[in-house]
Amino acid sequence: MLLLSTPANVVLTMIGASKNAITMCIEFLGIYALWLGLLQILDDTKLSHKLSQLLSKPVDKIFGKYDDDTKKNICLNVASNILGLGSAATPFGLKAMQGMDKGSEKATKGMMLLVVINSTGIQVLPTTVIGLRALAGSVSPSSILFPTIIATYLPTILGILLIKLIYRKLK
Amino acid sequence: MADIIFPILIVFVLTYSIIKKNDAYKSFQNGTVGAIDLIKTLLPTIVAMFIAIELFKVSGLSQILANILSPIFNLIGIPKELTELIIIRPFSSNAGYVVLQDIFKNYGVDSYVGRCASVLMGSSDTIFYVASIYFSATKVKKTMLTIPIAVLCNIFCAILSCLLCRFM
Repeated sequence: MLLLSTPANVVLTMIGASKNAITMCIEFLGIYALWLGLLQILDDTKLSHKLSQLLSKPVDKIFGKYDDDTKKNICLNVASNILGLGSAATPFGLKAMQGMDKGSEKATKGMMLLVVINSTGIQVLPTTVIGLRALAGSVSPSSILFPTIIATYLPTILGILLIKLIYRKLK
Repeated sequence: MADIIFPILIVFVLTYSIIKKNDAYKSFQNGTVGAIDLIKTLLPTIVAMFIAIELFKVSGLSQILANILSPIFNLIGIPKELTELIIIRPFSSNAGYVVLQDIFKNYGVDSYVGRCASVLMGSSDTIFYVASIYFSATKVKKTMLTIPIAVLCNIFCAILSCLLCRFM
């Protein structure tokens, strides 16, 4: 549509957008540099593994029977997500999905649960958002913390309940 | 009050690391360097995203879509300024952050709209990206109700965010 109205604007818009993109990347670089540094300390102390051990009982109750390896991957996926290590969570999640794969075309209940849990977000601390708020000059960047935590977990619980309810007869 | 949590957390991380006899400084350095690699992988996507979104907005398409959806959102308590964010968020976190910053610029970071947007972005995740990657690791072809349920949860998340920001 833009091409039809004012073609001159197209290139202008794209260049302006690109410039904004690079600015945002630099801001992100700052935010990530701080948090990845801290998170690496956390990771090296194996806190994520400790957390995943704590999670194994609840995961058992929610997901049901799966072999040990898959359960461990699910726990590590959930633990990494909670701690905000999204890039670490993905490989564990993928391995867990493969562990749950029985070769059937239909998604199993466990797969659906894992995908929905990952899609609704379970990160405890919204570090990126708080960082962006600080950069935008907010008076109190972390003031959104408590509402965010509630808004993070309630939809996740809803998703788990819906899947368990709708598919209670399924494996 | 919540502002204290982060300094406490940082102190906790460092203390825990000392207890565990871990070299915190070295860990920190290893982690921080990862930011460059991360941005390197993200940069192309962010640039493409920015361009696509700007074109989408400047061409008026997003306005049309927002006009269609806002009355519905208004009915369930979501301010119309958030429509764009809600549409984009399930597709890409980075696109969402772009729109978030726009919202901060246009409506103020500490305004009701700014706070709702912050809570929304901080409490949700992408649906389509996650679902497609995770299921592509398996032989599954029929994802059944996974995605509709995830979408429903995201909408619930939006409603909840706006509700909570009214009195939190």
